[in-house]
Amino acid sequence: MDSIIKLSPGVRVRKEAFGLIFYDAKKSDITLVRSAEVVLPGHLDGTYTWASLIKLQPAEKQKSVAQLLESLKQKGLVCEQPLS
Amino acid sequence: MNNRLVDNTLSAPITVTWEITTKCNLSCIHCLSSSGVKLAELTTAECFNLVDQLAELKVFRINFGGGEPFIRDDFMQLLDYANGKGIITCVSTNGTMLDEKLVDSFKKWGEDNFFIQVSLDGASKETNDRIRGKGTFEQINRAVKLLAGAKLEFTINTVLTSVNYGELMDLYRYAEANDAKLRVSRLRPSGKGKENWSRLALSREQMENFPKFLNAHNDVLTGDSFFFLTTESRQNLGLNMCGAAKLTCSIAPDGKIYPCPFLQETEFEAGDIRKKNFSEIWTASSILEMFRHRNVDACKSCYRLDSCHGGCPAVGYFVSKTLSGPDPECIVNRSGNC
Repeated sequence: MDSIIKLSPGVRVRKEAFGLIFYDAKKSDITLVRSAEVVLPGHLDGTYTWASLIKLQPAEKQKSVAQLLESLKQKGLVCEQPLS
Repeated sequence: MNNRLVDNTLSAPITVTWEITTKCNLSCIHCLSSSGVKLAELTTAECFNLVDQLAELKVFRINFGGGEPFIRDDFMQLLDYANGKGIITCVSTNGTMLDEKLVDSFKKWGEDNFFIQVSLDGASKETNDRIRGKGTFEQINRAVKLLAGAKLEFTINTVLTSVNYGELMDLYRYAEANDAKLRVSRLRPSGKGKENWSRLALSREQMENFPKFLNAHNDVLTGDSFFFLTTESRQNLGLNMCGAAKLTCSIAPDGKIYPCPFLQETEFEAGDIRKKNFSEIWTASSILEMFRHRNVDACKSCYRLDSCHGGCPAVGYFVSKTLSGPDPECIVNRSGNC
């Protein structure tokens, strides 16, 4: 079932020349992601669902974007919110 | 973390440390800021303007310190303003000005957006008061109880010195008993810490034993203080390199910008926000650029260079008067030992 993807509480993100930089306030930790232009901070503001964000990408990039999002979820940087 | 990506200038710092005032009601013997020195501090309007600039650049977090931040009448206003702009705030306080009403008011920003740390330099009254001043243990203890009672997440910060080293385990237990985390910070020879360095610095034996304590207590925070001795098992617990000029910088009470709070010397002044905007200073300052590409020549062949990135340049500078030497307290590369 699809769900909304958004930043986890206490996590911030911004775009840098190399990709994205995430900051986890609770851990005082940063994560650097070479995301090119495929995932942008605006994609993680709670307006996209997991599936819609992947579909936004060119077909050849969908698999790697799905892997990237899964990896961000594993690190606790993004979370899922059920569709209401 | 590999620092290659951040060696090239980020669009803005991740965090800034903002020493909002030098005024303080205490006179701690290790204070980094030589509190009490009179500076033409930024006005409320100037502070708001700077927050606007930091928000525009998407600086994630402001770490407010001092002096004692709560001594400024407009400090709560400033916290409100920064939080309203979406910036995470963290306050380092000596705790003496906290009361129930003030502590209660912190809750409005939410636990993910506001952090507070209270300084305590000994688990016993005798030890703490020797460093922070007579009667301060009782005052700090009262502040800790207030924060714990309010169910706020908070940190107890201890600057590790030869005076309180023996109470480290008791400090850990004290924090635990009050639902707080213990953060251990490194003594830096700046401000009053410079004057008292020889009697407060850890002995070689203490420095060599401290990693054993850290390894046994993974929940103890060290911030970016101890990367020169951080073992690989703690590398994922936070920053493992000096972030000065790469990830962070310091704002002095008068609006001058420095690579870090421990290098607030005229020769390291990167700019003045009364004369230039923050973004211009961050991207164009030759001082910050020099720090981004600092070569720690003495560590080039060390097997730990990729882990510690050469340690703390501030300690190196004040002890050895060079930025390219090894961390003087390094327990591996002893060529620069003090």
